[in-house]
Amino acid sequence: MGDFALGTLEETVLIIVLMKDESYGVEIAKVYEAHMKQSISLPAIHMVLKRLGKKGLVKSDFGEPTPERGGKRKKYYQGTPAGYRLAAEIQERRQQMWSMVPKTSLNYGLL
Amino acid sequence: MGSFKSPPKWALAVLQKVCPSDLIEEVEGDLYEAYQWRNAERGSSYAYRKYIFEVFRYLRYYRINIQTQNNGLMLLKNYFKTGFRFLWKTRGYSSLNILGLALGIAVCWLAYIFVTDEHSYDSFHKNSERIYRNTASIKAQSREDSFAGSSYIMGTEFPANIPGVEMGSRFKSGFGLLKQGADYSNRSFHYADPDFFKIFDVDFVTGQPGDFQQPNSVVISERMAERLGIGNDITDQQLTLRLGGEDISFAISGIYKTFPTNSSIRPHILMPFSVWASRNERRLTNWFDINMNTFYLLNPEVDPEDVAEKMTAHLLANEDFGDDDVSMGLQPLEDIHLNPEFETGNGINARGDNQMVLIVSIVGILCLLIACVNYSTFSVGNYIVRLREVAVRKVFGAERKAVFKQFITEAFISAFIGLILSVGLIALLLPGFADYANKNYDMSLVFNGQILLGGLLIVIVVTLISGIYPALVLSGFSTINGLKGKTRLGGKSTITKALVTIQFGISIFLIAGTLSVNKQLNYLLDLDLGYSGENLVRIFGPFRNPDLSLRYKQDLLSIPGVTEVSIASGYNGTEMELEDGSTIDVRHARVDPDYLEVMSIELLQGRNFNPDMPTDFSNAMLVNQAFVDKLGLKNPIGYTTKFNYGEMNGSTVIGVVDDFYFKSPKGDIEPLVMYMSPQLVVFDHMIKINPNTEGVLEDMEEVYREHFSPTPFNYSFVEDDIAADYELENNIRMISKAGALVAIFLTGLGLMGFVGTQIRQRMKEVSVRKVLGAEPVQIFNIFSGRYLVLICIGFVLGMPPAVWLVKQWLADYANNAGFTWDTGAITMLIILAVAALTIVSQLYRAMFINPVAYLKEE
Repeated sequence: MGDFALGTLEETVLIIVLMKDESYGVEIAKVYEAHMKQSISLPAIHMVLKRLGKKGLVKSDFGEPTPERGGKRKKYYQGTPAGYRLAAEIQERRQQMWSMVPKTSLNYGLL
Repeated sequence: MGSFKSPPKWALAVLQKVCPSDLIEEVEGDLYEAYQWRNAERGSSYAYRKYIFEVFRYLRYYRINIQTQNNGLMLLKNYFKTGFRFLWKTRGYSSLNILGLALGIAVCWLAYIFVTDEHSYDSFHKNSERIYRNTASIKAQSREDSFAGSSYIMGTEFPANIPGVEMGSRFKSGFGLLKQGADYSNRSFHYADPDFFKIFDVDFVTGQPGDFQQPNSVVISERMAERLGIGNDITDQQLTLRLGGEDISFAISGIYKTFPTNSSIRPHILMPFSVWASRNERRLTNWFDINMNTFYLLNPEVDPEDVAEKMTAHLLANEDFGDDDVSMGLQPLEDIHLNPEFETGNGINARGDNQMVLIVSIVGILCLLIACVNYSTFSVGNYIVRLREVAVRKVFGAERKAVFKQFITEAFISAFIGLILSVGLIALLLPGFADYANKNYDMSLVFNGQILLGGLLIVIVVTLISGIYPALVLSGFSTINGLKGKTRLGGKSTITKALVTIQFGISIFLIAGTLSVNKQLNYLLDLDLGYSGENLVRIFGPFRNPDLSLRYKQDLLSIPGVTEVSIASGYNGTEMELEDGSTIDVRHARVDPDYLEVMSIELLQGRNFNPDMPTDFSNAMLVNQAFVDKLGLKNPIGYTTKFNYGEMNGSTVIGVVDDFYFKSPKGDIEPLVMYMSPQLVVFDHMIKINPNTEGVLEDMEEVYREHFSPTPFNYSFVEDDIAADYELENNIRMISKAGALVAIFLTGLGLMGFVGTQIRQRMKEVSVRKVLGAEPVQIFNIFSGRYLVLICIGFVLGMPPAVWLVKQWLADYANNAGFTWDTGAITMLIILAVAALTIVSQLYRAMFINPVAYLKEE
């Protein structure tokens, strides 16, 4: 694994960012809530995005002002190649590890 | 699109203030969009809550930014931390100390609540500063009199003719019987003019101010509507009043919001003034028949004194007063409640009592002061524990100012905890206080903006007063000595001693004051009134027919348990013309021949009235000793006057009675004239009963109903009336007693802290003395001697102001107990006892401990 350790929330948000070409704060929150079935606060997402940005895993750009944002510009986030690689690596490792978990075991109840 | 709801502005402002500039646009936009989204999905209140919550989450994320930017804030946090630690470390003493502060704050806060309430009277009207009422004064050769009020015609003419008076409204109270179902109850109501609701702004719940003045209609307050069981729907609602013997129904044309309690005028039923005018036609044109209030709204540009002068001129142009000097005045509305110069009445609520305001303020401020001094002496007494800490702080670069700030902060912590605790104490004290202050206070009052602000103000005052001395002492201490552990502070105990002395002075002041009030009240209660109110019942009822009164009296006397009955009027005042044409002021009352017997009034000379002599009804009078003294009569029996009140036509003195207090014994006994007269209007029925007879009051009620229905039966025991007359004195006594108790408790607490530290410092000395054979009594003497000196100085400080104030207060009473030496002696004894107990409680350990415990330390 690379130089960066990612928290669970960081990882989730990174994957959400990678899903589309570009996405912004509220959109990420919506997708998160849709997939994870739990709500999240915007400050949390912003802080995570900031940290991901510092680690070079995402980059951001301002879009056009829109009325539903009270005339403020959107800040779009995009995954970087490094971000993509890291996410992929994590998924792969996890998949590998998961494959070593016995598929049938009496310890975990019925299958 | 287009209709975007906007999130709370203040939260946005907070965000903009705190969020770093490179993030603000994104964050603000995202929050805004999320707000719209949540609003659509889960409703506006959820979105609103969430928005605020998230703004504060952002604050949390950026907190590090704020904190590192502000050094002072960080230090302050440290002060709080060490402050709390120290409080916790000395929690035994601290809790006592803070409790004392809380008590002082609670008492002062209560006083603040009371005083602001008294001063807030009538200021809630939008135009309150422009509202005035008429007063009048008359100067004749012999006397000078000023009173509040105006005549009916002034209320019409002044607003119409005097420039600067924008509008006016007469205001007067009336009494009648309110009919509810088949029952009648006594009820006061008020008359007012159409402009009343333009002058005083009170909102209408139902109807409008314009509806007032419709003929045969009244407007009522919300509370009255509630009492009558009327909702907001007033269609076809009626109110029936019995006025002058006939039932009159009024339509209810509006309901207004009940006037707040801090209002001098609180009408519950308002009817057009024309109702009064139609019943009093001969009083409408008399210019100087002053029997009502008139309120004027003045133009803000004009000077009220100018307007009053014009009013005087207008009055004099219409009425000739001969040699008497008559003038009109204007009294500001806000002045009415606390100005003792003018009486209330004519629809104005009872005035506040200045004495009460003064006493409550004094008690509040002094108790707070004692509590502050306690805190100071305690903190300074504990300085040894803190010296090292202060020295280390200084070594690390704290300036004197910083240390000063630290101890002020600590005082603030204690004061603030005290404030919070005081809320609990107030909850305990408030019901009793409200009772004695004649107010309807409850706890919701405390949680009102202005009162909380007052509480904070008190905390700041406490912080400054109690914190400044310890802060100065500790910040001024030299660093080296602190580190070396040299613990003598120069001049330290002189100031502390002075502070303790001041506390004693304050306590002595309050105790002496309380004892004097107590003494005066007992004196009044024990005073021989000249008549006996024992087992005497007074019933109030209108009489119009002399035959009826005789039958009524017979019916009453036939009740078992009723021993004597007398029917008499109250006491009115008038000017009496003497034989030589000069006049004197007298009080007069209409009585019947049984009056002296029922009231147990002593006849000094002459004879009582005889109902069988017709001249006794028209030409005879009884006078009191004061009357005889005033005129300097050597031989009063047979003295004739030109007294021609009512159906009297010149009258001769037939008897002289001993002076008795027909009015309150707070004043002098005035010359009194009593006469019999068949034409009687309103009567007191004085009835002597045997209180052991069962059902006597019920029987009396039945007789009363037979004669006076539908007027409800109201009675009072004369002894209760006498007690009620002393209500104010009683209230003052209770409040000053409570204040003195708090003061003495706090002083004891302060002394305890002071003595405690002194003894702890001298434990070694005490131990050595004991080893050498000192008895506990001798040890007590060593310590108590010096406090005795302090108490004596305190006595010299506290007693003179107490004597002065008490003498001022007593000067208002014609009968007063005076200020005598025994009050001073008892005060001294109380304070000595408390001081001795406190010192012993602290010395106990020193007196009885095994000296080895302290000596073996080295």
